[in-house]
Amino acid sequence: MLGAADKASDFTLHTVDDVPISLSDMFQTSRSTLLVFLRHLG
Amino acid sequence: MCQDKDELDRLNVQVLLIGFGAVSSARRWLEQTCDDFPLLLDPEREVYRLYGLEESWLRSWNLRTLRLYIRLLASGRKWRGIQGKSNQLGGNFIVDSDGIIRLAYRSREATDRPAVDDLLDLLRDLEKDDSGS
Repeated sequence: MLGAADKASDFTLHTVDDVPISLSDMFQTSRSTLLVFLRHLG
Repeated sequence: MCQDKDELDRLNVQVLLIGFGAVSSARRWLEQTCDDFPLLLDPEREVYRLYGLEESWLRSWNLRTLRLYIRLLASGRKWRGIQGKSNQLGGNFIVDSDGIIRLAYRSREATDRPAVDDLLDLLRDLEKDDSGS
């Protein structure tokens, strides 16, 4: 299971406007990326 | 988290919200809660599994969860119903620009999240590390 100090697994998902975003894209422009996995959208 | 956007911008942090509901639900959620950050949709929850996030009915629905919902409703938040699997637990991860995970926090139950102040402290530490290197 992925933990601190491990290499993050890259992924590509789409926004609600259907724009694809990859985690690795963030590395070019941001010092850090904070991933917030939501429970549900209720 | 939304109220800390200026500080997150100053720290050069990109926040990615990840959810698994339908597009219409996601749009409504953004309108009613926080549209400062991109919301990515993972309908099959493949990335949830990739990052080891758990499913548990028992830990998703307990007294603390019910108290939280009552508090939110009492504060004026609208009930939008449950969108998607309500036994999916969430989590927070911080990844640095080398692609290394600096924080892996998997919720043990529905209301279990790291404090925003703790996340900001860790992000400030990363900024200091970067400045020092």
